[in-house]
Amino acid sequence: MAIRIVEQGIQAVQNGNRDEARRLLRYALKEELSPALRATTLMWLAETGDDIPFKVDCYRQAAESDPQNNDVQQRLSYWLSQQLPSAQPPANIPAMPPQSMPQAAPPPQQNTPITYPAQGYNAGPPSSMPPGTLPTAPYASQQVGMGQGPMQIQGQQRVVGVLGGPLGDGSGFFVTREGLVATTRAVTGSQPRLSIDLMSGHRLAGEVVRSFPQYDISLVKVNAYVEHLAAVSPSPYLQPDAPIVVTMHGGKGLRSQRRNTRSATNDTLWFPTVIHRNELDAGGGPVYDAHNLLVGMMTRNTSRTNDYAYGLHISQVYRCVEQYAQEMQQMQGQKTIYCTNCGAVSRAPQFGAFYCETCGGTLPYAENVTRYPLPNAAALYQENMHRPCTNCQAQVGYYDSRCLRCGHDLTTPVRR
Amino acid sequence: MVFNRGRGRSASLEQHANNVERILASIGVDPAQARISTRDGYGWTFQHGSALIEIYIEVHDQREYFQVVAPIIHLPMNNLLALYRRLLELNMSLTNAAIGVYQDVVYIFNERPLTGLDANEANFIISQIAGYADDLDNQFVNEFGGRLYTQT
Repeated sequence: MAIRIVEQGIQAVQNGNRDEARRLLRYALKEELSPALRATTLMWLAETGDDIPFKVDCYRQAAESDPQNNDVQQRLSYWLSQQLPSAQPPANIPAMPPQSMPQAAPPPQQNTPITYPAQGYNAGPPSSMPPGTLPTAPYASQQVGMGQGPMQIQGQQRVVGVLGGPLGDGSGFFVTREGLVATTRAVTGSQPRLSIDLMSGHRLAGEVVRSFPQYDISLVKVNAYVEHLAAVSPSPYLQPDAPIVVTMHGGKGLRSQRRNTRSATNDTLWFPTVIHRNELDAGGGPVYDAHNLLVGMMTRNTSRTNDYAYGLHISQVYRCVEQYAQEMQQMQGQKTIYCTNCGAVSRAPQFGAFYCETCGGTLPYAENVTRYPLPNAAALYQENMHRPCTNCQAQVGYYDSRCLRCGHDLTTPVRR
Repeated sequence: MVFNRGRGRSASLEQHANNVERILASIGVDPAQARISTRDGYGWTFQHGSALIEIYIEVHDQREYFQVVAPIIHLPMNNLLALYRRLLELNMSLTNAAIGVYQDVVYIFNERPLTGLDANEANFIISQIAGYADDLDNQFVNEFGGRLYTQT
């Protein structure tokens, strides 16, 4: 119970809800906690305030609870040094978050492999908390891809949990060593940030970086380096009746098989199974074949005639990963943002524009500002590169030979 | 013809037109002044607040319909993708009204069968459509550009 409250408190810190986090963590501290977990809780509690004496007090208590915890000692030393008059930061500079600590006092375990404890937070005090999981959640989105050293994940993660989505907890799996997790778009919905639970019980802040709704794929980035990825099946097809195993977060596995069907399903994209939707979590679990090779990702999509769920071929998942990598390469150096409406990467920030060029949705940063027409954004929306409509002169383009603005059919003469 | 729908005059439609004129009179609109000529139906137009309201009656699948239409803006030359999306998003949130585009004009409209329509309900529909039009027209022009329908 106490662990659950601590988890909720950490989640609240990661979501930027520091008041709620403080309430939960303080509540958890009233419960009986192991020394290590108490130290962990106090370290997260320290992140709910910017007041240096408050942080020092938290770390001091944490050090008393778990004197062997070097991480706590280093943080305590760091913040004590910040209290010295000569080290006081100017009032207009925010207190240095923990990710900057290595400059002042590099923790000994930075960038070194971490041995995971068998159980979650209870056995995983902050000494094993990697930089990516440092309680700096308000900056979580900035942490992704930042050069502060990713968490080293040594053991193979057959499956990870994807928590915080609109349909409840789902599953996912690492698709790149750089910490890219694949799950379904149904799991992430339009959330920009989620939590990724490792098999060890560690929880990382994940940022959704790209979605492909047409394939029900979302890619979530965590600040981690994965040493062992699951071996991927080289075959682009899955034979009818082939045995499969779907692995879900929480250790649940389903033995099943590819359904033998004569329907015209696109074999290189989707494969039918004999798994009912109600046997699954929110989706995104990896699908392995009889040789323990990764062959796909489980989704909650079904056909129109029955309740059997479909999997998505791993080859399609990797095609999407490659597309994302190419896009990132093309947009290198440009200001971009993930559009939560459609899942595309938008270049609107580069133009100071308010809307996604793919779907027209209002981008998160523009939601609560006064919006107005921006003539220089026409290039972004490709509204100035078509020949003018003979009826209204708009250059916004055509569909089925009709002007997208006035509906005039190009094949008919203009009535004046 | 509004929104490209077929319409034809009939004796029954004429009777309904008389009913609509009675309803308009009861809500303070002079039917004779409001009457407009349409190709093959009946129509009225009048100002309600700052909104221009058009009313049509039409026959569709042998059933007469009462249609209240408020043209709000001429589409801008740019920003169409974002505007079209906003219109569809608003369609999800409006009550008892819908947004549509016909040629280069954005409309808010309501349509219901004429049978059983009384003055209270007609007044409610007209007020609601006019209210939406009032709220949205300037908002759209300020955000996306374009021109108010009532602006020359």
